[in-house]
Amino acid sequence: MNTIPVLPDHVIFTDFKGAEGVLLDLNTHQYFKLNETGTLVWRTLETGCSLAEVVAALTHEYQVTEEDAATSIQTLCEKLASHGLLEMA
Amino acid sequence: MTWLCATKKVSPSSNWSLGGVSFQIEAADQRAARLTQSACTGFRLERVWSVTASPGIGTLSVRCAEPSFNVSAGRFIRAAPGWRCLSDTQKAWFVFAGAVVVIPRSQPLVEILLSSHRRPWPPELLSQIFGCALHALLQPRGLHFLHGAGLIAPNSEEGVLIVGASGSGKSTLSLRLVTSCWRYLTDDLLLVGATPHGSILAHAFRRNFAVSAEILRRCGVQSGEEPLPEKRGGEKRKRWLDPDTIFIDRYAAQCVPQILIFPRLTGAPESRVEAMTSADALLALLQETPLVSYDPTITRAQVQTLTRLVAQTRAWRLHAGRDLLEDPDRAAQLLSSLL
Repeated sequence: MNTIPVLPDHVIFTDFKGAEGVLLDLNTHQYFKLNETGTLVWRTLETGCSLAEVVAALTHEYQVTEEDAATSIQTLCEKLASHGLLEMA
Repeated sequence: MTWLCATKKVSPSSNWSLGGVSFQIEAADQRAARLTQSACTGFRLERVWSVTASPGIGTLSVRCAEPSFNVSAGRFIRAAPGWRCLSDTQKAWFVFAGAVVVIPRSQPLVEILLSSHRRPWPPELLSQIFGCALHALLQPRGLHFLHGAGLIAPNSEEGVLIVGASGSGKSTLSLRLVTSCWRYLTDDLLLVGATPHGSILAHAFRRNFAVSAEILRRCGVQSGEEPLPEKRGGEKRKRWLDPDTIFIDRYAAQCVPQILIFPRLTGAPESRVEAMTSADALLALLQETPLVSYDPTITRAQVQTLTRLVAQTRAWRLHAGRDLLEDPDRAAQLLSSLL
């Protein structure tokens, strides 16, 4: 959980008032939708936070246990990494 | 007395503007000048008549030659169906139907090379080639292509953009609305760009509507134009319709979009609309926008413009039923209820 994922330059993220967001891969022109919590995860990662800090941000904003938040964030990051949208350093 | 019969020369160089951006078009010879003149009438370009006119933001250069280009250093990039596109560090080449559009990265110049062997050049092919080139010239100046129709409700300045793939009903809806006194920009091709104040404007790009004979008949509109060539996928043959000759004073060069409509033909008796989230609207816009593959800076600007367009509008999915075809007033009633 101390991993700090790297967000590649070829990925653009845009969101609408913190609600859903859209990720666009400039290399493949594939795009993905993130829900509200996914948007919070991405926005937190953009500030250079570790996965542990993202868990803290999520549990601060939402009624979710640390364990559930950690599992969800890990799953999301692995999925994004499989599409080349972030790198798990 | 013998009268001299001769074809009038076409000026090889001319200045134009679109969406507040001016530029120059140069033709290398008289054949290129005539093809350019013919192609430009299909777009909402305004001639700039001034002896001191500057080249503006750049130049579109047109010549008839045997198109050839060095592909050894290039890599294939994504392109619209029917086009082959290559790019290297200096240039991008868009190849289509015996023509090449050359886009240098560091110069405000776009070249069109038209095969001198093709005679005549069909207008619909020229339209696609010049559309690609004009778009490439205007994109670095913040005017981005959108596959959509633009309309303005009567007694209003509220712009409605109908965005969707070919065959989704854009032209039918546009014609229905125009016959119900709405003003129009275009039925198919728009340019969108930000004003200095940050709001997004939509500009008319293509001039003519392309509508099937059945829709023309249902709308009580006649077009003397020949049918356009059949498209792949069995889409009904359409005819060009110059709306300016039929709907006098109804054309508007631009609008401030307030509503986005994404139509989808259902075949159901009744149409219905469904509100879309901003993220879904952006995804739907991205589907109908050819993102620039050869310059990530322009792609980022494109996405930023589309994001701002979504932020300033309300978006609706239109499940278009048969009532829009059968009832001449239904389209205007339905869309007016969303304003």
